[in-house]
Amino acid sequence: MIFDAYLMVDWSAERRPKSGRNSIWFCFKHSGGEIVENPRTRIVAYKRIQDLLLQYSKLRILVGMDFPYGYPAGLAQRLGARNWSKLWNEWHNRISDDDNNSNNRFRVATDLNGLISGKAGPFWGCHRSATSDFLTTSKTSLAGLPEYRLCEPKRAHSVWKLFYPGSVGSQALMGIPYLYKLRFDEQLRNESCVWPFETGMNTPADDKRIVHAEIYPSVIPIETGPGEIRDKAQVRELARRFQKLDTEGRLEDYFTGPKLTNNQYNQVKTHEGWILGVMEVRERPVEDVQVQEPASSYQVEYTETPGKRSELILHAYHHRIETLRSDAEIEGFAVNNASEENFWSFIGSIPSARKAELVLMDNGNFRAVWKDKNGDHLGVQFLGEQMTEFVIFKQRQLAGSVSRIAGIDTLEGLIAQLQAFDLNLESLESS
Amino acid sequence: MTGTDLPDDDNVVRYAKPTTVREDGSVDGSAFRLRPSDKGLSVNWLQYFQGLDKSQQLDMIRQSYRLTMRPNGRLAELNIGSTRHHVHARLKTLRFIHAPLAAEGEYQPDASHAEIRGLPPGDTPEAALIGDMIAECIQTIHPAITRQQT
Repeated sequence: MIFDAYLMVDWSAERRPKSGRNSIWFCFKHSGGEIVENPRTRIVAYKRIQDLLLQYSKLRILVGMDFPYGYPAGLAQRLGARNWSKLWNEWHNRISDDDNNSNNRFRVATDLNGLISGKAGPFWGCHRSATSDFLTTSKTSLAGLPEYRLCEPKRAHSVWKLFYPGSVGSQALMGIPYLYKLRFDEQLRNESCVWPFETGMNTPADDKRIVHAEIYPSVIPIETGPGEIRDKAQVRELARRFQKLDTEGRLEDYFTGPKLTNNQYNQVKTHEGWILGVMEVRERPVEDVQVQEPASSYQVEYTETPGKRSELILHAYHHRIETLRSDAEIEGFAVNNASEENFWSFIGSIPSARKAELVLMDNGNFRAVWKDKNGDHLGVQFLGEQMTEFVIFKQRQLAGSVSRIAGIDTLEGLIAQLQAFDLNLESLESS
Repeated sequence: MTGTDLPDDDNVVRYAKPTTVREDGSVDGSAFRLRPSDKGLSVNWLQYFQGLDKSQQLDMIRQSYRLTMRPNGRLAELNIGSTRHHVHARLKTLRFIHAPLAAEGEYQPDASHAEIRGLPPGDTPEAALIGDMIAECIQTIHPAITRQQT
């Protein structure tokens, strides 16, 4: 068996203390017994879970919570975060939650939309009183980001949806900060890991006593007793189910998951995560959401603060991509989402780079161009699958000539080319 | 005359879609890449319309253009000789050929139509490089649609 105990949690984004239906429930199951509890607030739940993980220090424990641990690929780069842990840290820093469950999740979603898109979206859904130019009650634009993660079953709701029955977006906003605290708890951090972010799509190594994994209760059918609260039954049955699978030696298959392409695997491991027990990959259609009128007059105001500049550049890229997406739709072709992801990966790997000019080619791929007044020039078409087609023009001052090369290379290979040509994207800028 | 090389002193314009026009209004080199099925890149020869000034020449081209020009598209003007000279070290096969289009269905004749021939296949890195070199030769950028047309 892989584990000695199973802690299954049904989380809640309630804004007041609550027990019973649609509140927090958890079940802690081990060979010596079964504990089912219903904490009235998130803070109480977090402390109780922390206590259990510390108290049962000899047991290897699978901890599953029922909200998305990641977001569709592209979000992290949009916020200048490189991976899932940076995003968790960002959520942890932004979310406030008090002893009475009073929280700022709509305010945070509003701020994030402002950073990501400069308008409403991708986060949507809220009380009428929380609406603004940046957060609306209905879906508008997803800001060019996928609506769903690759792991999400067809009946799952999008993590962008924060309100209304079935939504999970608020649970994620209000859950990830606690997950972050548990994973990086001073006493637990060296013996904890998060599947599959830190383990890949593999059975976690033995040296990690606590394994966090996202769960989705609807993956297994649940039978509730007469008058029994469904949330309670779900956590109990999930804990029993995982224990049974483990006993039968079948849990390893769940950690391996379905077959993924290299690109999908990278997205899953770095950004999106996976749901334990889901064995199918969700197909991602071309986004069919209405894209609002882009702010074509948007201009970047450069400041001397690198962090601020980086934020504004990301903001400007977003607007540009929205414009190009809209123009492409009029012309009758679609953006290659793999190219866009590739672009954000590259931008994320060189956060200090100046802003490039971005265009869209007839094949749906993005192309970015940096150049300077001396004639140095870098053009990069993002081909997807971490591949690029590049053009470099480099002035040779002493020889009075220009070196011109073009080729296809990986993102890493391209960065090596830039170093070889002594091209610095911090000094190159759009024309 | 069909198939003849255009004079080095003359100019052509190439329509650039909005998606290939940069935010600063300049035109990206990707506007000068061949599509997979094409042998030549469509342009229009300004001096075909002799006796007209440039704005009139451009208007004639706009009227006969067969695809839909968008308000945020652009017409990029190239001088034939300087473009050929600029890319010569890298590509010796570049030619500007007069290739007028006859009337076809609903389309009027496009007598100033010409093609840039000898370009590398559009899906190659070399096409990207040559496209960027040609973009360096753009002399003037004109609106694709004038106020009277909107």
